[in-house]
Amino acid sequence: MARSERYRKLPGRRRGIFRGASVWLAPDHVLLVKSLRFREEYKRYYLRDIQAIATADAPRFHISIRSVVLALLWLYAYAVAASMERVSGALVAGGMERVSGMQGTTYLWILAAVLVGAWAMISAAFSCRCRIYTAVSSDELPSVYRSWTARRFVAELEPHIAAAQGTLEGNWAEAVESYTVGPPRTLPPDITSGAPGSIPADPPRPWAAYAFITSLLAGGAAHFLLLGTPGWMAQWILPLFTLCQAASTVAVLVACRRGELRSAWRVLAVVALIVIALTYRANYSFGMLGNIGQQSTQASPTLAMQQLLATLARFANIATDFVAGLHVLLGLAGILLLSAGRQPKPPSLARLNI
Amino acid sequence: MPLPKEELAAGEAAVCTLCGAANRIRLFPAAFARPTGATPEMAAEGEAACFDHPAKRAVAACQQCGRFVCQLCAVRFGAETWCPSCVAAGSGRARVASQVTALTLFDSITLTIPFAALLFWPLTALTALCTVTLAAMTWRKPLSPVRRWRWRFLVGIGVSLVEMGLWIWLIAYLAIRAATRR
Repeated sequence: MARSERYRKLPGRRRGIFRGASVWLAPDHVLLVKSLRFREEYKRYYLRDIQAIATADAPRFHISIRSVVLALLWLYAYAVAASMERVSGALVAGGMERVSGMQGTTYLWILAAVLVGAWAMISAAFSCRCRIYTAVSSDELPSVYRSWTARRFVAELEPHIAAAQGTLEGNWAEAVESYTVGPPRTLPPDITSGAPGSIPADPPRPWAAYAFITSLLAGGAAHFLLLGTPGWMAQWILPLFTLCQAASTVAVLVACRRGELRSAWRVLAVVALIVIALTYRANYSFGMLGNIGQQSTQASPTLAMQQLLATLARFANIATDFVAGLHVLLGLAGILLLSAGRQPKPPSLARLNI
Repeated sequence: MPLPKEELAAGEAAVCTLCGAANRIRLFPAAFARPTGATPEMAAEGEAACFDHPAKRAVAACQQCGRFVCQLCAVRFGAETWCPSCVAAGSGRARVASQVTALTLFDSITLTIPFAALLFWPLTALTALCTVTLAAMTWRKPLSPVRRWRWRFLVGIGVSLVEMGLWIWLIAYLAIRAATRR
């Protein structure tokens, strides 16, 4: 590759937890960069070859690095606010006057609800899929996934393509009838092989998705049901659910790899895997700290140690409740995805005769 | 499912009648270009002919092996022309001139390792050395075409050197302490 080539970044960048993408402009071509952590793949579209750029409104629930950082900051702020409330509670118990007004954690929950709502609304209503067509390819540009970014992207690229190809003149809409944009297409079997009016075959049943949703909901429900039961029951039953959740999550990832499930399922599965790993790690850490605390208490039973153990137990309970709630939320998100997937799927732009 | 052509021509959003999604399509003149196939001309008596097609007139010589090629056989890479055999062999300058389609980002690896090792700090004793070695070995490897600077390498090496310095200080401190106790 010639190192003298200077690229200028075009609007749009996708920074995911594992994957990323961006589009760059060189004097004679557009470079699509897809990255997978420590590896990048490049695809070039020469300006003279670009036939069309199509943008179709579509929901895109992308979890970016930025939103992950925001979530971590929120968690940190929540931990600080919860600790301060606990301290103020202890001061009130010690005879100090309670300060009236809404508590910090309540504000944080409201903020979280607003942020999640805004993300969901933007992802559902102001997102799109952008494709670039040449005579031999029709590729999606993953970095252009918001409507406003797509507008800026097209506005910035269009003059360069016009400089390379010229502009369309006359009533070209009539001429479109006899031309085909994009690579030569073979229609899918349900259209080409089926007789006119025949009913297309049912899509394969997403068993992995069902198992995934069931395990998440059941795990969350089991946690709440086992509250107040003897400790050994939770100790033996909950890990079984964790195991099932991990297995079904891997099954979902495999199904995504085979193309049986949409890419949104992959995002959900990755988030679920992170939550499951954090749950396991938290349980392990709290268990270990509890054991150390108990041993220390047995060795030298001081009041401070007992208070520390009680605080630790309370914090562990809050954390596990929170994680169980997350499992239920992920399960509900899965149900939403499943119901969205049952709607008639629109034909891809490559199949449209434009 | 055809999209409304008039709306597309006006640059407006064309609503899909099946799913209701708005589609905006910008068409460019390349969409209406007829494919032009290479049609080599027949070689006349005494004219140079293609190496693979003796009846066809040669239009160029391969810039790797020197064979004459006809219009059908001429493969252009930038300003140069090669014959199909040299392109298929993928050796020599053809490989150099071919476009890179994927790269491993060693600078990102160099940047990540010393920071990731901090999660389990005893590992830094090993990773700091590995990082500096990796950076030295891969410094001249091509960077991503859209990255112009080697700051990731520099930061990774810097952090690794700091980690190595801290380890040396710790070992020296423990050694001196053990010696003074004796």
